[in-house]
Amino acid sequence: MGTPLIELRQLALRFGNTTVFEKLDWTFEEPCWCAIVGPSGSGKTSLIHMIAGLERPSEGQIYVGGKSLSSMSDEELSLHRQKTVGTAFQHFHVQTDKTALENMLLPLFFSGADLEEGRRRASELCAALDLTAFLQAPVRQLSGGQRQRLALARALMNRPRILLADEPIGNLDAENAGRVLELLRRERERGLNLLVVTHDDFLLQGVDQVLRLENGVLS
Amino acid sequence: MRGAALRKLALSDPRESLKKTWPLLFGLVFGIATWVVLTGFTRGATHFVKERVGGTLPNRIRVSASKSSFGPLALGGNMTEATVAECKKIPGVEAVYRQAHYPGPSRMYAHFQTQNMVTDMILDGVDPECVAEQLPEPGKFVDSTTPQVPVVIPRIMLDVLNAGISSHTNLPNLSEEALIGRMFQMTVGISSFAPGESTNINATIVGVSDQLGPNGPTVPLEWVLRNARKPVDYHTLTLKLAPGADLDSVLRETEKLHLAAPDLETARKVGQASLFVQLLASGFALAILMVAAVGIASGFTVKVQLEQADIGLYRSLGASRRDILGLYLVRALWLGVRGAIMGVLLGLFLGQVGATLILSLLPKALAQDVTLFAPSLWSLLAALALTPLVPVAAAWLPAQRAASLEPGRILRGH
Repeated sequence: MGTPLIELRQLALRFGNTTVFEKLDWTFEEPCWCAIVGPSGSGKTSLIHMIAGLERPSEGQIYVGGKSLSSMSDEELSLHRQKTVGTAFQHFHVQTDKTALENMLLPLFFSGADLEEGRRRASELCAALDLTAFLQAPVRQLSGGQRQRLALARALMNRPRILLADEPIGNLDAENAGRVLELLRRERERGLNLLVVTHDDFLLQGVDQVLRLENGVLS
Repeated sequence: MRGAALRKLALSDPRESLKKTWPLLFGLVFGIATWVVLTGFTRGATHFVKERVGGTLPNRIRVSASKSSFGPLALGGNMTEATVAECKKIPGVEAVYRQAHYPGPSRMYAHFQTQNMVTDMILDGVDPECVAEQLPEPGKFVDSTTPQVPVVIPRIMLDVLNAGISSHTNLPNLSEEALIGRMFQMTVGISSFAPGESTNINATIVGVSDQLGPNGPTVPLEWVLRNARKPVDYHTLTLKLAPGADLDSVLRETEKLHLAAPDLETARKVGQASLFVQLLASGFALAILMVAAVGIASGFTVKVQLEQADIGLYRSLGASRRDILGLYLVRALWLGVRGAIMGVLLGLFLGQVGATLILSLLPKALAQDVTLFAPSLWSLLAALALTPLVPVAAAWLPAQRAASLEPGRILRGH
């Protein structure tokens, strides 16, 4: 058995006196195609942020590909976010004063990847998500669903090993949700792992494993 | 490649457009423009004064036995042929030209346009070689035994004359070209207050020179020596230095002969005053830049506050703390580059307009060939090179604050 994809060891998250979860242990093996469900405030988004290296746990360790995130320097964590994980946020976090293409190219500015190759990748992802017509449009003109698909496409731009997605089809109709699922399946074939926070039955049916995070317990 | 991409990202932001950043640019542009204008005028004015005092011919020193010499008001002892001989012995001195007053007063009768002028004055004599380089036809300035005597007018006398014409009449100024060939009469040996034996001469102006100091009309020295009824002493000697001569060592030697170089001393004092004024101007500009820097620091603090969501996003997409720091510092540097270029251009424009305005108010002849606004290339290059560092320094703390923000916390907040 190889190195686990993600390992959570004695993980704890506290906000002041409030404990969201503690002593959380879990191992995600590769290939991972997994959804996390749970009530609001159970710490699902925080868990995604921690695996992305955006938040530090109050206690415990997270290992991604055998490397401890807490022992990584800022530069190493940046590399982790550039190469290993791609994050699609629940609230999209797209820049409305830029075009869709400019938003998609943003990760490449930090990874130093070739922008021409990036444009090809953006076209490919937009075609899959029916966003081609909006590639040069300012994001402020896009609808909520279009922005959500754009945020997902941006998370896949650097061909990450793990996609961390927080409610990635929450604003989408069935047709577009299908497009997203189809794209994710295609990316899975080239080795993508998925860890998704969702309440959507449609998406839950498409994953291999569903975990429930509730009362500080992952099961 | 990554660096270039980050620079592109920093500068392509619509929030960095001129329209959005002008409030931060204003102080920088104003500070640099002020500095360019003030130092440019100081340098131009210094050059103008020095040229008027010392003349335009290089490698020449005027020495006299007194520390201040204002033509007829020269105080202190005069110099003889013995002093001339001593000066010729000084290493580095190629030639010595003598200048003396006619020992007695003179009256001048001139006619200009519809005006007749009669004035008492001191007639001066100079070795022709002293002014030859500045005369259109040097061969005309030689001693003559006829009543037709060639005269050279000191440049400063022409300036004073023109200032008088501008102040008191509507007549046009006298140009050098207009003077050459003009004639006037002089009665040498008497004045309104001192009647006695005199000689009448017809003077013909053959040129204007800035090598004569503030004296009266000047004839060839031999004429003075031949026509003087009393012994003649020299009030000024002009030392022409050989190429590569050491000015300081020549000055030390002249000091040993108890000779001073008042023009050079004046020029040095003007230089010192100019340096002081330039320092003051720099201090004033620096104060403006400091205020601008405080404004930029505040502006960047607000910018960081408003752009927290973007900072969080960039961090989530792989930007390191150093990248965020770099993004803001590149923006600050770009602000500085734009401020420096605009400030220098505005300063040059305002200086040129100001100089044109001032020169239009001066007598035409005085304003001829005068560069009142003369910023140095080095000072402009220094402004262009150093100004961009002001916003970089001002933005340093806000940029550091941006770099130290926790991405997870920011994203959760937005």
